[in-house]
Amino acid sequence: MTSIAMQRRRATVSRVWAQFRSSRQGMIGLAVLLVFVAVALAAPLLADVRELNPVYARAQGNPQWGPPSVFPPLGTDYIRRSVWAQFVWGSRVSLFVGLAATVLTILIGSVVGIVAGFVGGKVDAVLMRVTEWFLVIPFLPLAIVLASVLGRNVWNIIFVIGITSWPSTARLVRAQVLTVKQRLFVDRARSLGAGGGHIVAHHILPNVSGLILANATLAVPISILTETTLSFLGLGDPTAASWGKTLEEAFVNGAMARNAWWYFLPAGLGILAVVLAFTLIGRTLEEIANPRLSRSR
Amino acid sequence: MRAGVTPLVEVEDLHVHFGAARAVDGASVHVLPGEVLALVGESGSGKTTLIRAIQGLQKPTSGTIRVDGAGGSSPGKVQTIFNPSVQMVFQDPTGALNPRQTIYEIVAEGLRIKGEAGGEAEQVWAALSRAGLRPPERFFPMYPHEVSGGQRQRVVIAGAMVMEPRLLLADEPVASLDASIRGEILALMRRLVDETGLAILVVTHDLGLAWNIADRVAVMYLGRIVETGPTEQILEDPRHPYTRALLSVVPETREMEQQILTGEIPDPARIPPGCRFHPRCPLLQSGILPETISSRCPTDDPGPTPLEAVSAAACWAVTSGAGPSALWASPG
Amino acid sequence: MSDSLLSIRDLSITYHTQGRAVPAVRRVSLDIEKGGSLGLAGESGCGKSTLANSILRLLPAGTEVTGHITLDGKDVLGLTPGGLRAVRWTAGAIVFQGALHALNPVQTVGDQIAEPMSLHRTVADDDAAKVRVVELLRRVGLPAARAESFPHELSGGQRQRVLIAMALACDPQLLIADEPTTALDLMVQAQVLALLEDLKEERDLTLLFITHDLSVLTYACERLAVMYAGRIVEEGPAWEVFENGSHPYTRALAAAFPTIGDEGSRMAPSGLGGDPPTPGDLPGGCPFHPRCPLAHDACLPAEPELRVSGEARRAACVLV
Repeated sequence: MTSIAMQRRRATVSRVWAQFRSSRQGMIGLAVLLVFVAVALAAPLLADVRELNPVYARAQGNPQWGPPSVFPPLGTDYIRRSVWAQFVWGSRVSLFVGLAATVLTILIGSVVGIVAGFVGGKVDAVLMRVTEWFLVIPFLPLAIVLASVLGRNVWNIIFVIGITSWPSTARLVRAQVLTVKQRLFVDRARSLGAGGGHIVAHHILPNVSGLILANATLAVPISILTETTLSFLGLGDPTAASWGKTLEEAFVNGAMARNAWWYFLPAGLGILAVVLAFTLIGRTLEEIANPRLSRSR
Repeated sequence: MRAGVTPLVEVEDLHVHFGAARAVDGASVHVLPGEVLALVGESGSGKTTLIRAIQGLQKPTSGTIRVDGAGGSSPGKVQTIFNPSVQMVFQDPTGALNPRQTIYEIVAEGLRIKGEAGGEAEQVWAALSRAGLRPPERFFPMYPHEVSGGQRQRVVIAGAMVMEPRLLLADEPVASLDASIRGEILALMRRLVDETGLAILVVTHDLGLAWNIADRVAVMYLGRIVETGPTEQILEDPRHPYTRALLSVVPETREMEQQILTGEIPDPARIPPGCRFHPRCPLLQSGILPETISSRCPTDDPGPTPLEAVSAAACWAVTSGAGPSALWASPG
Repeated sequence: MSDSLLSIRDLSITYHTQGRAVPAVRRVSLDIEKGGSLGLAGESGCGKSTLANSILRLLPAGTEVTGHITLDGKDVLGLTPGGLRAVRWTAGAIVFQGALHALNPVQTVGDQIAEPMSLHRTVADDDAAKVRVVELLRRVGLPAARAESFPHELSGGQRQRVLIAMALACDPQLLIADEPTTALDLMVQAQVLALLEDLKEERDLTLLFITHDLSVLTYACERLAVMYAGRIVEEGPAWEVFENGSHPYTRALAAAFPTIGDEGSRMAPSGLGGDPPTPGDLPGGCPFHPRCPLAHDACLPAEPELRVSGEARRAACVLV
């Protein structure tokens, strides 16, 4: 019988896909995202990782501050490294940090939101006070403190982003759980003898998962931007070549003053494109999950 | 109580309070195996709260609910335990079905919770078929929004019947359905009772429904049962003035002189002293009651109808033997 | 038919949604004489509310309406916007179902009752409007202090009374009541019905009463029209139609509301198989034939027209 259920699930997926396909913004976002994912995955084929090492770069005889016309495709930086290699390998770090931090955000936010909304009472009150506390503490000072205490590596960056950005997800999920909990089918499940776990798994989760997915897609760009901000402020992982770090180094070493546009522009545009792509996809998914948003179409 | 028959469910002196509001305030009622009891009353009478308490969806403040002889043995002790032999049918079938589950999953849900592994598909098939959804396999992959309102209510009934309950609690099961569908659902419920020995406690404000399917009727007013008895007696020869007034405004009973009560059912946080119905009672207002009775109504509570009662009315005019029929013969 | 207050001829109403034409009302003709009352019965999707809304042209834009509606001598469908405003509220007013959303939640009840009066300038000034509001509230059985209340502070029955007071604000001749008692309890329903009956007597109102509950209509109206799949399938004096319907659908609907004390319906609920048809997808021939207990070959070729089935009665069934 599960095969019937599977069939219907597949039908639902293909219906959502059909709706998604008919949305131009969603398809543009998806196309852009796929390009960057392909770049990140194919990084070893596109650029030699040794190009990130200034010693290797010097040994190769790369020019310093070489514009793209001298050193195609994207020129070199102040210590002769290839900007193209930084861009390609940086996309890996940026996408990974963005996705991993989002997973953490959504995980914490969903668990807190579902437990608070479903259990209610004192548990709800305590969790919501904690959520509000996290919501009001200024993000940057906390991130700076955490980064300096925990040390500067990729995992800590992910942790810092996750720990500071889950509260809004938690509140959103909790609100939705409160509505779903009131629905009669939850009463029906209870009168069939269902416990809390069954109700959450079979009735609450399926009815909030659309919201969680849409929220997740919209959280990715925020995570990427946060990573960029932290790296730009010098709090990023010194060994990981992320786009944010490229921007920081370009800024610190006077790329703007030298008019070395090739140094900072690729990373900046890359961030812009990925953030935009995720936002477009997230908006489209949100519209599919909640048709009232797309009434204007 | 009928001799030799153990009631399936006994609710004794049940209280459910929400702060100051006494939604259920000392209700006692029993249901025998194989009978349909209609619990009749206006909204605000506490009838839905009463059956939610029986189902275990609502925690009682005090009182006893005994299902199948089990449950609270000491009166006054709060007991809510889940019992698979009690199942519920809801007023709004659309809301009672999870829009993300297929009809198969909905009907199978109870079995899965119960942990019954074998023969799931066969049981779902049989339950749908018995609820009149044929051929059942056509409905397996459908979602609730793909079937009509009447069919949705049948799915709810199938989902309850698959648990093989002995008591079905039905909360206004046809109030949200189209008139022409109504009869079919009621006929299905009556058929389940006659064929399987199921008992049904149906909550309704619709006296015609009681006439259609109920063996007995209990009338609820402000948290208490004020009159109970066999359907024919309650609907054709009611004794409590509230029952009488309710019956007189059913559009189909035009022979009766209408007694439209003024105002609405009082706030359960402010239950009137004495007989809770006395401020609206047409019998008291008519002035035909002898002084010995009418002086008691505003101060003395006639109390709830007793648990075992087959036929009773909580009214001083009735219990003091003034002969209700004689009183009603000359109203006003 | 010269003394009809409302006269509807060959009215067809078609909604256009997502490129599909959905016929909600199909070639309906009916009359209500001045001071008369007509009950329009039918199930969800039969077109009864669409019909009611069309009388004051309250249908969504883009709805296709053909035929004629004459209200108090005016051709409603041909009216200019200005003329239409004059007809609404003053010639005919509609009482909606008393749900919370029928009233503005942030405005007092008194202000909402006064609104149509100031819009149509039927009162001299605000003070006169206040006096009139109190008068109307008293008339529908609510204390004057209720004028200061907000809708959420009222019970369902009280909200329904407020909606009736609103509809009476401009002294309309025709009162259209769309399911005014559906959400109410039996006793409150009886109170509202009694109020409508009193008002009708007192003000010589003409009443068009719409509900799915045939028994309420029979009690409240002189004449009864039963709709199915966008058409009137039976029409006649209320009690005769209710107790002795000519159309099998009328009989089935009437049987859904059993007469207490009638041995025939004791322990024998009666209903129809199947579901009401969806307006966009009607069965061919007589649209009722898939659910009709008496259907036979003659029902299939064409949809039966209304024909005389007794004194002042019509029914659309081949068996009549």
